[in-house]
Amino acid sequence: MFEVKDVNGTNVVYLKGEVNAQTGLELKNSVIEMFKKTGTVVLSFKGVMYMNSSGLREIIDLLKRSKKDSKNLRLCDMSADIKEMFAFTGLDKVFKIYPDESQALKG
Amino acid sequence: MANINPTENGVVVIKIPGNPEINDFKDARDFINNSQGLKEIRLDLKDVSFLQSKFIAELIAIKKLSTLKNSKLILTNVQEGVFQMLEISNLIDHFSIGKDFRSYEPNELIYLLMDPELNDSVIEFIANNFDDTFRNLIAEFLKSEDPILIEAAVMIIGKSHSFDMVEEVKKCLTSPFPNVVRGAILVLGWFGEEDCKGEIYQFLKSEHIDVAEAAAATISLLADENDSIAIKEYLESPDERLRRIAIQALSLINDDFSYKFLLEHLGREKDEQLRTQLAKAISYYNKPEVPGILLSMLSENSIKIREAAASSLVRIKATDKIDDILELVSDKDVWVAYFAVKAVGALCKSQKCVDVLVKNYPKVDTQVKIAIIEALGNIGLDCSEFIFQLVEDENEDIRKEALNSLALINSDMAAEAAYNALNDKIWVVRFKAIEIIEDKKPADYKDKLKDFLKTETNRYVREKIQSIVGEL
Repeated sequence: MFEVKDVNGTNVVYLKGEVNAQTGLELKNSVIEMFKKTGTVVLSFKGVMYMNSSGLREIIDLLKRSKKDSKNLRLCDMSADIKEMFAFTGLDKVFKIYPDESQALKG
Repeated sequence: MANINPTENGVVVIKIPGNPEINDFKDARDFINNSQGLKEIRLDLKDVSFLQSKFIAELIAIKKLSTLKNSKLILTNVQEGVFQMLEISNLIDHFSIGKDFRSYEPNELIYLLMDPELNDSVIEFIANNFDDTFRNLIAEFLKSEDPILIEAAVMIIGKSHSFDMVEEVKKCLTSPFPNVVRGAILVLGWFGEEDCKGEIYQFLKSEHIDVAEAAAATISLLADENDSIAIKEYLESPDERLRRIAIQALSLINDDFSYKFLLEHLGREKDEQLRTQLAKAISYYNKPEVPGILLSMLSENSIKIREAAASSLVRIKATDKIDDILELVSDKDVWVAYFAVKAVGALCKSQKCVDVLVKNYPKVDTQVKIAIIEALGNIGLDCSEFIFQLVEDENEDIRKEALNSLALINSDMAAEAAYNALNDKIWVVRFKAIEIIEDKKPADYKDKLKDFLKTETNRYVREKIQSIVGEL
């Protein structure tokens, strides 16, 4: 579902396969735990094949939590189709979206 | 007097007064000179409407000093008069120019919001720095009759996640301004305001397509099991824009109902753009039959549809369909073969795929040949002998692509081929060869490139070499 790597002190979460209600919830809970120990988490969408509105809602909820706790949630490596999904809902203007991991890490 | 504010993380903001004097720039230089570890210097010119030439000389001096100190210099909030002065002096390319909204009073930001180029950035800035001052400011925006300011207020509430102001956003659903209604609909979706969904449905019939699109997006974001059925009716609309929106919304909802509706619609839809979108939409369903549907779409008449089907097959990693895709590599329709090869290059890592591509190479059109060379590079298995011979092909696009793929497969052979290609009669091939030499860095490559520079006449190739050997 996802893998986590520590890249120079920042957690990068590599999403894999499907982002739906179940995987989205697990992702949200895991990242909330990470935020207890770190200020920034990067979500890489490179391995995302499927995503639906239920999964997207969990990621929005995660953003709300991160904002509330003054944490940084950054997204990167989205395919054109996934980016289109964010743009359709206007969420491309809400999330910090970077073209690739290295730029997301720089912030 | 220049106002110098060192901030955290090695950044300093130096604000130059409206009527600058030489000492203001000297103060800045002294500060930079005496500082250690400055990462970034922001020279704020917000209040400076014009710069005399003597001050331009001071700017150059600060630029030189910042380079010497390894600090990044950014001129911020540059006014038109100063910008023109830098342009006339041919200095514009030597300075980084940016905006720093922190220098502006809240009431000054209103004017910047009116600039379409700055509107998004100002909203972002206020949302990121949202406090009571900005809360009062957007309360004023909401009371105004200016649609730009009201929309900005709504977007700031949304982006700053100010849930306590959600009632203000809901009121905007009755605004006479379409842009305000659109913004309010989107923000209510971000906020997860499910109780507003019923009200938002009416906007699907809006004469303003942006409003209808926002409504469809928010409904799909807030969707439950009933919403696919409600949105389905818009697939029947004579307005193709509404059909497009319905496809996007159903794809995002992504339940069994929406899948069934989209499949049915695929059987009816004639519009090329919408069939292209359907290919993408259906690929978002994790169903076993989806790769087969996409495979059949590779043979549609439209190139756009084929491209969407091929890229969707790649995105969903349809490796179980690789044998079927390989059969299309030799299709008599050039574009079917082309997109099949593209998909093979992205999906396959096996020798079998390499063998099929190499075997078909002599039989296919030039465009497909180039795609095959690219695919072989992407697959990455060693077929360097085959590609090496293509570096001398009569077609320059083939020569260039062969160099590129060789570089992905066999470094030594790529360097050898790249040196040979420095004598190619076409400059883009020489340029590619130099890129490869730069990447592979074979022994004494800089000396060899310097020698080659003596005879090279093409400007772009010369500049590329000069940048590598440090002569630019």
